Amino acid sequence: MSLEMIVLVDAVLITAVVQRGAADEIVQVAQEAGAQGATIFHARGTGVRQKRMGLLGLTVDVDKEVVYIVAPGDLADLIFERIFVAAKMDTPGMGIMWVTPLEKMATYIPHEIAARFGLHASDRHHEEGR
Amino acid sequence: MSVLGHIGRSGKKLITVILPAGRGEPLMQRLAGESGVLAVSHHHARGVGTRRVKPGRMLFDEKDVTLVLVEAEQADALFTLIYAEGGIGEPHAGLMFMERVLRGHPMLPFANP
Repeated sequence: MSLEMIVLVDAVLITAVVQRGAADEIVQVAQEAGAQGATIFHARGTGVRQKRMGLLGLTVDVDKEVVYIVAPGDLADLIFERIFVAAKMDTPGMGIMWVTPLEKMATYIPHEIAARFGLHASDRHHEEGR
Repeated sequence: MSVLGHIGRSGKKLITVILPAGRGEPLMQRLAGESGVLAVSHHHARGVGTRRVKPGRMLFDEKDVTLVLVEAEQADALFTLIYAEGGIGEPHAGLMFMERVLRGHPMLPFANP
């Protein structure tokens, strides 16, 4: 395990709540736009207007999928736009999505990538020693 | 403003940890008695990364998502603790992030009158 923690500060969380079965396409377009990955879980929900949609409100599934995508701040707008279009968010009842800023995030960062940005303490000491 | 309008207004942070399935429960138990931790819960999820079964077919992993509501003063220390305890520094071990929350309050039962 890496004992030094590299903290990324320019990251956002994109959350999308969509009808069940729609998450896979959202993840696909998000990855094509530059997202590294996504986390998906099941939920149930309804909206106040949803009951009036379709025949007895049955065309909108109460089973939802919630998609979490952590993305760099500079890619957030592009990913958001691609998901919005792919999920047809402009159609009533298709879902909702939002972006929240993250104060910091951490994950495993391979040594060679961190070294490229001079982020590993061992590399910094090596540079200072020169 | 009633007294309820002030509840939970002091600084709180929400730490979300996405871990391989099975690691959420031990982390939750490890954090339960930690100073500054107000509430911990976790739920199941599936995760997808850049790996593919074959071109165009996504590979899903089972995940646990752990939500930790913490006091802002101890948030940075707890973030570091969770990083170590959750093994976030290992490859394919997930990720964690911290957000500011406007209001937060642990689920505490009201005292009987």
